[in-house]
Amino acid sequence: MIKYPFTLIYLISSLIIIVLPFYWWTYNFGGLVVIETSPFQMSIYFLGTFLKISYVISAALEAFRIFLIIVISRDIYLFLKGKIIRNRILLMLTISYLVYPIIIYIVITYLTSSHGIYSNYSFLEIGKELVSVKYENANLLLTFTFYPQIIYWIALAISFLFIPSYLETRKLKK
Amino acid sequence: MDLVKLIGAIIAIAFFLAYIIITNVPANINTYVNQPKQIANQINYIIPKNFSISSFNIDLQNLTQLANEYKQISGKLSIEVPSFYHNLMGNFKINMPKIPKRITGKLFVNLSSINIRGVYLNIYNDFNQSIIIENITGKYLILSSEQYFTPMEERMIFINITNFTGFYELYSKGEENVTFHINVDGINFTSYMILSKSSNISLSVPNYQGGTVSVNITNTFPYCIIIDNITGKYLYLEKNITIGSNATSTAVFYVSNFTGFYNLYNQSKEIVNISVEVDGIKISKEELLGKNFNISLPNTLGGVVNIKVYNPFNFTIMLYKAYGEYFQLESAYALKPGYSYLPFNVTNFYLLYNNIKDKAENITILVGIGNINITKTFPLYSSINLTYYESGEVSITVSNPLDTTLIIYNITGKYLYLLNKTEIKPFSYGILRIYVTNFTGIPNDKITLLANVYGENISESFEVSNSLSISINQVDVPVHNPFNETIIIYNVTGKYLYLTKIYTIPPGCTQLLEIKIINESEVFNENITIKAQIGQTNITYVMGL
Repeated sequence: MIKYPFTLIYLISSLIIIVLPFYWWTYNFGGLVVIETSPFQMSIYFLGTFLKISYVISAALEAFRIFLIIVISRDIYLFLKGKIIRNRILLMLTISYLVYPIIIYIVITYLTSSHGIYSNYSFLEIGKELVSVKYENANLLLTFTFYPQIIYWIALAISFLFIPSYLETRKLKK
Repeated sequence: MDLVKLIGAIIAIAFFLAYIIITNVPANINTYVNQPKQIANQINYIIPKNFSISSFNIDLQNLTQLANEYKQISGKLSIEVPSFYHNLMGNFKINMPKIPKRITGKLFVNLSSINIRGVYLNIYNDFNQSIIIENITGKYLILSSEQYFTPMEERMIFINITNFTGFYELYSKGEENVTFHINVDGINFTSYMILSKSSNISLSVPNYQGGTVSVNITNTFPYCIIIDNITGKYLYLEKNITIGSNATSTAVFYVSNFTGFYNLYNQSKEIVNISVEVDGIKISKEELLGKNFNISLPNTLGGVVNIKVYNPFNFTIMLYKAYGEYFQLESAYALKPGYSYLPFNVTNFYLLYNNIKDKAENITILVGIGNINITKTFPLYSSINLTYYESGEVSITVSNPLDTTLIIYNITGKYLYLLNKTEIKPFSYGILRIYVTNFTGIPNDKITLLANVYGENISESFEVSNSLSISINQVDVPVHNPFNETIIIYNVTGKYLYLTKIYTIPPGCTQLLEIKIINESEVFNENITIKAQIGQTNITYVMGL
């Protein structure tokens, strides 16, 4: 019945993922700083206390969510009308999360070197790492844990539906 | 850019702006920026800054020093009570001589002859009564014996010359002064003349107003009595005299006005102040001196007693207080080694005597040896043993160098305990009154201290070691967890201190960390290592105290 089932599933799933208010990743720096994040919301905890700045950041991200909901809803509408739609949004968002640990690495390396802090932190993409930090007369042994939530895996899986979706729409173009 | 995307973007931006306006983000921008700083700053309040762990120190050094001294020395502090007189009834009989209203008369003295042995004087007594020439003195002249002259008697007397050459030189120059000591009816007076070749001098005693009077006093008290003073309107005792029991002695009075005295005396109206001493008991009272003169000492009398106190040690000790029901040491005295006489005020000799007789009078003394005061009560008739088995109250000065009030509830040991709860204000001193039941046991005694510092009760046991110094070797440090993460403190270690166990402090809670201190005096100089966990972070922090 439906011409491009992958595209339909991809578009509707993308919308659902964007609407769902779940965090995608958790970055835990030894419990001292915990960042829970998704492209549409963010919570920062410092020594167990929720930082109020998170609200402002989240507000901007929520605005982004609203924008994406409108754009994808428009695409679904057009798709159902028979227009060929190639929406890369979810793919871009999920792939971009793999880049964040690199940014974190750059930031931490910059901060430690500029403050004279010795640290044996080496790049961590996902999982756990024991980081030793030496600053003046204090020694800190932190466990860095960067791990995605299930919602992220689902989102990543859905975003890969873009490939069959792309292929089926390309076939049609021929 | 199509229209829908534009509208979407506008809606998104509108949403964000609405949020910023509704929650007033610009006004709260400082809150957002400062919040992490504030959280970070709370690290400074985890361990109280004003908590000083090493300054609280109770020094019982003097106590142990005293205990050690007691081991080596022992002695009896004795207070020798005189045999207090339960009844001081008795009297003085004062035999006043017949005192004339006035004495007039002349003594005619003529130089009869001089030889190398002496001088012959021809004397005529013009007084209408007998006189005694008690002495005639001059340089190089001596009268060998008293000369008695009846009224109108004339005779020659001989005066010895001790050094003729010297005498003759003075005599030739007219410089030989001669003093006549004359007694007329018990009244003494003196007169002067100059011996010369043409000496034919009359010695007159006209209207003699006053002079010394020799008076016999009989003591009918059953005790030896010292009369220190008798003073009246017209007379006083020239010097104190001692009269044995039922004995008579001669007292020399000076009478300033014979006429005035005579009138008062005859009417028994001469009021005299009398100070007597009966074997160390000093009594002062007023009496009327008359023909029938009696002094009685009533039972209700008090007075001052000099009491012999023996310090058995070879160093000076302080006797701050010594008192009983009817007597009291006048003021604090430093007792030198050996015997001292100290004045005690007695309120009632009679009752005191009865109490001593019934063995009911106790004496309480406060003795200071070094900085330690010992209070002892013992029966007055006995001596106090200051020996190694001694017990007593000891006062120890304790300094509080902390900025908080130090409350010491109790100090207890097998051989000592604190007499009362003591509060010591910040940066000041306090006196701990400790009762020691046995000084010998002190150096090895185990002592428990209950105190309150920084509002926290602490209880500590320690041993009085040979170092003679006791310090608190445990402190309870209140540690606050300001974070929303649990803090686990695994260890606080240093060369001279350690944490007794692992502490888990829930978010927002405060817990007391029991820290043992091994060496209080060294603890300030060391670095301590704190091992703790916040969240999943292990922290090893080295800090100096």
